[in-house]
Amino acid sequence: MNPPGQPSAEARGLCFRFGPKSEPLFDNLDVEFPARSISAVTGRSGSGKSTLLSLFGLLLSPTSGQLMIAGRQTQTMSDYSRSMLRRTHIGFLFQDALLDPTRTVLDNITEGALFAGLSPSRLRGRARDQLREVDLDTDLLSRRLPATISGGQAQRVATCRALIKQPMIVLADEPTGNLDAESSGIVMGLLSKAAQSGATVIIATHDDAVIRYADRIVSLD
Amino acid sequence: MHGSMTDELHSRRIGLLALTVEALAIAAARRTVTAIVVLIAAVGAFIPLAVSAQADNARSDALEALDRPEQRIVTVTDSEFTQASTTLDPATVSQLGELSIVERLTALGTTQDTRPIEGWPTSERIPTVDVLSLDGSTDDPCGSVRLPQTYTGSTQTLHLALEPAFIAVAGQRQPESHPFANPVVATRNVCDWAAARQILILVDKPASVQQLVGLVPSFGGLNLAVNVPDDLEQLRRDVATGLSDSARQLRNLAMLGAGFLVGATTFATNTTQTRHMARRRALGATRSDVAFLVLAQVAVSVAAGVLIAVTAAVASASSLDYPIDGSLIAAVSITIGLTSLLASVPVALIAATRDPARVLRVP
Repeated sequence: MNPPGQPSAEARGLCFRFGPKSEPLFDNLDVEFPARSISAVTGRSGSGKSTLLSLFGLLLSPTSGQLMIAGRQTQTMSDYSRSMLRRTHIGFLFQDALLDPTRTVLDNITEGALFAGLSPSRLRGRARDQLREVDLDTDLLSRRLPATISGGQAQRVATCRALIKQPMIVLADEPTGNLDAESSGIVMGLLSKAAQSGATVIIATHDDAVIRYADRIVSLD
Repeated sequence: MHGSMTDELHSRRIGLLALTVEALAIAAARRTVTAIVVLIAAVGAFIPLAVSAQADNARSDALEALDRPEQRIVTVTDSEFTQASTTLDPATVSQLGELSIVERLTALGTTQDTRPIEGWPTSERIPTVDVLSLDGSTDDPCGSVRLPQTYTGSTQTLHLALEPAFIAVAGQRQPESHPFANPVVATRNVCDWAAARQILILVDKPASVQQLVGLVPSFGGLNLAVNVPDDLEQLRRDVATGLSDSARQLRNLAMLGAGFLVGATTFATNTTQTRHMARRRALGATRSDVAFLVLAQVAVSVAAGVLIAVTAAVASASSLDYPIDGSLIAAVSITIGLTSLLASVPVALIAATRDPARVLRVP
């Protein structure tokens, strides 16, 4: 467990560019994200918010510098090791929910457990509890396909998927970008609860309502 | 809570069973795509099974027919197959018919029956007459012919113009009482040997075939084509090779085609699934997990298709009394499976190595 205030994700002298000839997006960036907190990453479009999340989600490798997750240096890790760390420590929440349209709501949530190496069938109970927690009718929704639910409901389901494995770090990219106030509040409530439980929540956002939930703000401008 | 959970998680690997179950669930959920792959695999497996079974059985039937002792016939034919051959000298045929090694000698062609009928002359009207079977047996006539006109028995000889008439038999095994018992009589009275289009000689035992073939030239003056056992052996090989080659070509084409189509379908469907593959990567799937998911979906769909094809092929073959060899089923199943998987490997590699960060970026 991370002690309160200790960084579970941090970068030192982080440099990143998309290609050898492209301009650096980050140049010698130092940033840290403490445990048990919500950090809002803000900045204009193109400032690198989503890219920073991808770097801390181990989907991208820094061009140079150090990037540590749970105290481990990740910049020299193999793709396999990064995947293992991602599956066990990191939960993703995408702007467009990105649910599998061919699977039921319940299957979508437990998919997060499958790739964490847990048994989806054993976590169905937890998935139902989560659905209730976000004010979704478990019996009605668990067998429905994503196309038959609203965008706000889909994002709540995606939040459940990100949190079902109780990750150490939650990365949310504009999680409320397409939501109404009520759904935004529910999603942020879940993320706040995860932070209170010990998770490091990093949110890329433009939304002032979301920024109000943040314990700290990292501006990339 | 998080620390203990993550420690527990870090020791975990996603089992192949769990991934296979997930692949099954994905395949079941993507009904249309799965149905297309199942259909392709089923057709691709059914065609080779059906073709091979039919070819095997046809070849078996053909070879069995050629192997039957009673079919070991030395065929002496007029090479031109003319309606009125002048090359078949009745005297030569008579000589052939009298050889001890000749069991039966049959001419096929237009002929006249000039049998003497016991009890004639009579005023009885005879509307039909039995046509004798090829071996001259009256016990098993091969049919009857309506007489072209009414005979009143004004003569002791009944002339039948059989068109197409085909009977002329001579041999040692004819019943004594039979009008054809005496080959000379048969030759003289029954057969217009010169008009025969084909003459078949059945020898008493296979070893006599060569003996007869050796004797034929001594009759001289005949333009004869002689089919000997060597020719039959070649014929066997030709039949077997021809059927096998055709079946093999069609079988290979069907299996390769099925594999290619499965690969193409997998490619086409996976290009629309790039974000979902990237999502799985973000959720923790390794590259090999993603590749395995793609291939496992293909495998379960192809397995379902092959199962349907095998069931259908076995059922239809049973109804036709054509058994399908188990090794053939295994070979076709394995080949279809491997071909489909091989064709899908590039798709799986593309899906596994695509940059998830780039794919997940919302424009």
